[in-house]
Amino acid sequence: MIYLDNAATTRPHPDVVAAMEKTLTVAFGNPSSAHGLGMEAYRLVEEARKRIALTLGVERQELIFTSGGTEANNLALLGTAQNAPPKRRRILTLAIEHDSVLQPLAHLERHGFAVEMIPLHPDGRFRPEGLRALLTPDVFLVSMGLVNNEVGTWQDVETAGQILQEVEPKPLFHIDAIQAWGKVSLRPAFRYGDLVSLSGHKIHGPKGVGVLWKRPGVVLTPLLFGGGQEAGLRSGTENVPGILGLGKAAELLTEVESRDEDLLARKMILWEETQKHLGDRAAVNGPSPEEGAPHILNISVAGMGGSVLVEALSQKGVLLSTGSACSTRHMQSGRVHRALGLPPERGASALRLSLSRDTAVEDLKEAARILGETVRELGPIMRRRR
Amino acid sequence: MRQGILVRYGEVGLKGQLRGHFEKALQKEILRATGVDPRAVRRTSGRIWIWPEEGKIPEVLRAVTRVFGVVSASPVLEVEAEWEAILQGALRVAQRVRARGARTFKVEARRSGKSFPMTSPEIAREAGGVLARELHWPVDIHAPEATVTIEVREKAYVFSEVVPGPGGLPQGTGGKGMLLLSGGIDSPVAGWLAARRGLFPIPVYFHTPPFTTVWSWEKVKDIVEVLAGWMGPLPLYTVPFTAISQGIFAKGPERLGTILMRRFMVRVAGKLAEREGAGALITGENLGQVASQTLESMAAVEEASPLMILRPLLTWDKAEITAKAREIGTYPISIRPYLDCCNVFLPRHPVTRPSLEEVLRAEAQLPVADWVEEALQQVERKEIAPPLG
Repeated sequence: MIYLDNAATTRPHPDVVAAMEKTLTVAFGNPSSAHGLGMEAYRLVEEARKRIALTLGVERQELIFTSGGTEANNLALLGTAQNAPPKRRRILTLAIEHDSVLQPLAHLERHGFAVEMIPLHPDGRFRPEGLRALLTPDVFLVSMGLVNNEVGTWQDVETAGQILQEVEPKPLFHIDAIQAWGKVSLRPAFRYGDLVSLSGHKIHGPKGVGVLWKRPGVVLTPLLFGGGQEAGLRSGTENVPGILGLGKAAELLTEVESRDEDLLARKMILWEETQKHLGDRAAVNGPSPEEGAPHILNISVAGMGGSVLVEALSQKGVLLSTGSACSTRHMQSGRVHRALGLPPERGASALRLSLSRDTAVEDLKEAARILGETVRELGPIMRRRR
Repeated sequence: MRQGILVRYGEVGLKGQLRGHFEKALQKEILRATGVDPRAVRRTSGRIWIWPEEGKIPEVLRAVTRVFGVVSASPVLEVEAEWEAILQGALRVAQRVRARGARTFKVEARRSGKSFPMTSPEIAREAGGVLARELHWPVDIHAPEATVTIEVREKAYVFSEVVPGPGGLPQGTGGKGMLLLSGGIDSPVAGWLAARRGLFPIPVYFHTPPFTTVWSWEKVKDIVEVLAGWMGPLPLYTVPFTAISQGIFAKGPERLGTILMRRFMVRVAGKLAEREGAGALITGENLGQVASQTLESMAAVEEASPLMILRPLLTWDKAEITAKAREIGTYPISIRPYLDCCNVFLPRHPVTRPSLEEVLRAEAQLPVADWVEEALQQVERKEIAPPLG
């Protein structure tokens, strides 16, 4: 099996699994319990929090554990918008954002907010002058992904953050860094953002756990009420196994200066090999390979249905996606490609190949070869369809 | 006093000399569907009585009203054939129906034999009076919202609620048929309708990877699971169909593609029918819905079939089919949006009124027997169990 769907999820690291197992067998206490077993669970959670804060360069009391990236995004957007003054009910975002950002914003739109899309370059980067043109004091919140999950656009959140400072009062800045963690530096996100969303299972951690970082002073109303865990911002018994797994996964990440160049080099090999086997039948969607995130390559093979190729490659042990994993099964891919101004057939024939630090160069070469072979096999039929 | 379920069956009782055979089949199906102890099921005077373990009434009632051949079923209370006991039973049943919101009622009574001292009209009148008084419940003889029925025999029986069943004939009394299942809305409904007439459908799915994905196959399995909820475990045949589709695509005239593919499907299904002892093919075809469903196209396909092709939905309107699919429970699965094999291999300009001669000429270029044989060698048969609960 050659797994090239790491933007959908990653294989949990064995150390992550070991850390989790301990909390499922021995240290299974409830961190809120008064006895020693509870105390131990509490200590483990707080140690994990400390370790994650350390790797991120933030304070541990600024981290809120959630059930994953979707909840982190929902909490950031809905939890702040509830406190928007009546005259500041505009929200800016990008049309290529993940549904866990766009859907809560659509919900806010049904409740009196105006949600507007910041204009994009064809590679998915926001246009600074477009942001400036939309930016007035009635903008309450701006939400932007640091790395796009489908085409891998790497946003310049530093520039965005500086532009936001030009207006008074400065809007809140939410940065979805779920696809960025471990791939590009998060420092600009924490420097310019007010809220940053992260998820465990994209960095070889477990599913079902995420974090929202909140700058001190940002007022957040919880989505879940109950026992008052996470400083009252996210009630519910702590997901101790998940949090420990996440802590271990964060610890195992290596510091990224700006972008993981080693990973990028492997992505470039994949792209070069793909071109070798497909020639100019393959076209890149989104940023050029050397400019985007180091782990996502989104291509279209002319005349080949994306879902047919994904199925055919799956049979040959090469696992990848057409677009975002959550939408491809339901044939809704293409939204991001449309937003980038690409013709519909580019969206319909899109493939997302996503790497992780575990991906071996030989596997990338082999995957490109199998891709070329499969396109040749299916080509005659698919061509006739056009 | 004990609680049970009274099961009514209509047509089964009318079948003259076959009656015993049908009733036995129905009883067997009820046992399968409900899982109750065989000793808890009794057949008397054209009805079936089930006396399940305590607390199992709701679940057995739900199961029995999904058995083909069952017209309706009622939870029933059995009491001693004594006036006081009958009144107590009637009160208990009436209270439950009243609590569910019936504003008016009447009592119906039937007495078999003369050993009980009151006549049927007397029982109805007296019991109705008591219930009206005790529960402050208005009687409406002509259009009651609830009817409490009292039957007096060796013992007395009281019931009110009547839950409709699917009707039809018991599973398997009409033989077996191979059901060509696509994953769309129509074919599961066709299979269900056939099953309701006692014809046991054995689903056959033609899988065309990679042009259809594993998700399409999963969808078909889920549909069969819903059908199995009505008729018990079903064997699902999956026929790898990519090679044949591609072969037709490469060698046949494009405009006849669909018809040629369907001719192969009925041939393969016909061979599987031999293995299963099935006497017909069943399809979800519907006159005029798409190009391959004209009389001419159907005739051109049928010509290749060793067995007759039954098309239960031939004359239905789409809205009727959809409503039935919702009722059966297959609709939400059928509308999951995965590619159908037909989508990929669908001709751009399909012929709607093919001549058989033209089709036969095109097919003469293809190694028909070899392809059918190859497909049969790779067929997978998998038993699909009903959903839990």
